Amino acid sequence: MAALDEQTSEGQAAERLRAENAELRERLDEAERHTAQTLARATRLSQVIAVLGRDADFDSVVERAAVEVAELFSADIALLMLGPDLELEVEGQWGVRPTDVPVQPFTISGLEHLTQADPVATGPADSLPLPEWLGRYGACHVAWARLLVADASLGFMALVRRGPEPFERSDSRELRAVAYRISLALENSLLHRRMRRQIDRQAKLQARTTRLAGMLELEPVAQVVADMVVDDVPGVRASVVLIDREGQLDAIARGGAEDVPEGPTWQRYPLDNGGRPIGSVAIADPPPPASEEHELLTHLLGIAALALNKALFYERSREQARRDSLTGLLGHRAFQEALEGLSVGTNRFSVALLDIDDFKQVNDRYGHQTGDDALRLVADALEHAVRDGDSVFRIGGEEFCVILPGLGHVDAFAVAERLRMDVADYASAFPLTVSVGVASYPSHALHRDELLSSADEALYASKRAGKNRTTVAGSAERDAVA
Amino acid sequence: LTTQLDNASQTRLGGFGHSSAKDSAEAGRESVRMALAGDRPQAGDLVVIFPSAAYELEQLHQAAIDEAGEAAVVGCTTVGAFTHEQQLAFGCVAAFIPADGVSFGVCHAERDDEDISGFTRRAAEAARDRAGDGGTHEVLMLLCDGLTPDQREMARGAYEVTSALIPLVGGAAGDDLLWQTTFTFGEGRILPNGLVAVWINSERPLAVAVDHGWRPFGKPMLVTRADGAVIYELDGQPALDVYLSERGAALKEDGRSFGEKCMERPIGLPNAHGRYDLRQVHDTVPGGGLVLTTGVPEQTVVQVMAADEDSLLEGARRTADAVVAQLDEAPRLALVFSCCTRTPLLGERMAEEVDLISSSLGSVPAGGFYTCGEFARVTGSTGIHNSSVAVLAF
Repeated sequence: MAALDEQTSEGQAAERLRAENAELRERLDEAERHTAQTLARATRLSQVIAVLGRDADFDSVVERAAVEVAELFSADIALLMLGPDLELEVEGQWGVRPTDVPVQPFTISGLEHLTQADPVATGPADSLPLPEWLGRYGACHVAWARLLVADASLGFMALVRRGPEPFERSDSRELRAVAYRISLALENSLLHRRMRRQIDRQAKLQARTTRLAGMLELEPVAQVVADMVVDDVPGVRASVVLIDREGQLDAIARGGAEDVPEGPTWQRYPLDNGGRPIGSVAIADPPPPASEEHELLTHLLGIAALALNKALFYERSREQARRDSLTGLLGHRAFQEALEGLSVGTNRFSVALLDIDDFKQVNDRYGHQTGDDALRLVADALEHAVRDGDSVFRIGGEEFCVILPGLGHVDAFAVAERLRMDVADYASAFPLTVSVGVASYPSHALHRDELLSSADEALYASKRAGKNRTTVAGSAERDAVA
Repeated sequence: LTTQLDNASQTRLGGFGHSSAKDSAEAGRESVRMALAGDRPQAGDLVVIFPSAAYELEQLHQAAIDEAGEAAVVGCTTVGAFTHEQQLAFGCVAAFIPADGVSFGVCHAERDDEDISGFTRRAAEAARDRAGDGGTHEVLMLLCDGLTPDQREMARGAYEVTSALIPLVGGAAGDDLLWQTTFTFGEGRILPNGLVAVWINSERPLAVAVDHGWRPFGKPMLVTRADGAVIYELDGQPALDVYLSERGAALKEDGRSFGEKCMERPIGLPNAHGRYDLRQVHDTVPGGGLVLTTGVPEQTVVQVMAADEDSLLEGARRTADAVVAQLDEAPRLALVFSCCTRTPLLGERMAEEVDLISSSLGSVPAGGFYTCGEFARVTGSTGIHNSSVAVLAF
């Protein structure tokens, strides 16, 4: 019996020891868990600072912040929602499918009480606001922190745990510090982003300016301007460059969308060069005045005005080079270009070569000044006599040519005759007549040189026949004498 | 081991097979044949193979594909593999997972070291799309090259697709601790630096769990300089010196690599839940830096960890308990991803780990491989582990 009692007593003692052992093990596990939590918390803030300090780029900061904070707080989901309270946008997130994140700005009511004095709230998911679109994520515990710099709110940070372990008081304290560091990093990165944007803009402007500086032709310059305004100024949908030509605005380039309807979205910005208007740029959906974008637009339009002015000057200079300085008529090079342009086409046309009769004698008898007056008179007479669409050129000393588009040799002869007679009738202090040779494409020649040669032969035929007359190439029977 | 039929639902249950044949083709064929247990694989079924890297892998892979018929074949090389009946230091283990009530989407891709996270995200997205709709329970399984520079980036890329909703599981391939080249299998290809993403849609609940059984051993240390997967300084001192002084015993000159000698003293990172995430020390760099398989951020507190056979088996038991807690009924089978660093300490008790898991889950077929890193995430955002044991139960 005593032995049995002793055995029972030993058994109970062993049981008690086992129970004590198990309890001690549990307490050890608990102590170990607490130690681990304490250690993890001890450096959470410095880890966030270290990670955020690695990069100043805004997108990287929000992305890293979301990932690191989720990991450090053992959260399944971390959200950085930035913007005014009524227009929040998810800028960084961890743990949510991108398709679940709202595209449009949103608001979360019930967070107004998070202020600088108390910016953090933690608790069970059913005790705190939670965006609807997080509904299917099975949140158990939520932590909210307002992101503040001084008293300005940048938005909110949210952490979600799907497991049963709640956020503890120490989590709240650290979350407040972490949120503050994230806010500072975000503000820095926003400044950095703004600076980066300005530097990029300067670089782009420099590239645009360099490109425009190397361009002379008006229409390509205008196209670059039209594209530049749409590409570089956020929000601008379309643009049209208009050039002032003798008081009339010609649209010479269009950029951006073609389907922008006319209406109040369009606004016209004048372009001038030292106060002299050179045209304007019409812009669909221009940025609001006083905005950063508007400042950029003004800058671009300044560059555009300089470039367009230079192109207009070049166009004028080139036009002047194409014209004869004495008579103002188009010169020999312009004649060659015009003839080349016509003779590659299939439509018929004629040329009338005109030569002032006895011009040497005019010079000799009345002097060179009178000779010049004679040239101007003939030019004037011809310009007044030609039809719309005809072109008059001075192609040599006293030699002129009129290109008559669309006319065969019969009609051309009639026009040439009228020209000849108009010259003869033009008021002059001395007798002034011209001889004319007419040739037609394609009836007289298929090539430019051949055509001119035919007209030239006809002209000399007129001279040989007594001057002041018109001859059609290769057709003696049609020669006519005034 | 046989593929069994669930009498109530006539669902094919699947199973495991193994072979330690020296001939590569024979090993592939035999292990898959045993896993099939006479069943005829159908389109949509999945066969997972875990062979030793020393095999002629082309031959083994082709034989496995031939034997698997219509089933998709995926897998990776190992540091040894196992079923609940057999431990294989050299050999091939195969798992047959029938499609009954489950659909699999597979993507096997070559790693982009410039963007590991983005590459993993793309692979996971492709696998998800290929799995199609269907099934209310989902899991993403990853099998990756064990020499992936930073497995943490891989877990992050996967999380971008799984979000907080879908558990992640898997393991990193091995080459019998040679640390030279590991291989992954999938979509008919073998890749030396690949990733197999398998998206699993299931009508029945799936369970994922992970635990380890290690305890803190040394004093807490602060990571004062780190870059990617290399810790250069601990407490402002060369990391190697601090680690060696904290681990408590000098490294023996016994011909093993530095990484092998460090297996029994991994590094632990305490987390906000009061648990430790483990990181294995794999190598050193000039100047006294420690190379891990996974990045550790600066300002992280770390501790040297220690374990014994019992505590590691206790870790496995906790993993199995966590699986059981997620399921209403016993699973069909369990894939187990156990870190190769656990094997030296478990020694002859290695087999007990998978036995314990199998029995805890209701004596279900269980098998897997010894990994060079484990993926497992159910809650919290950390998905990468070392020295741990992860389980996926179907």
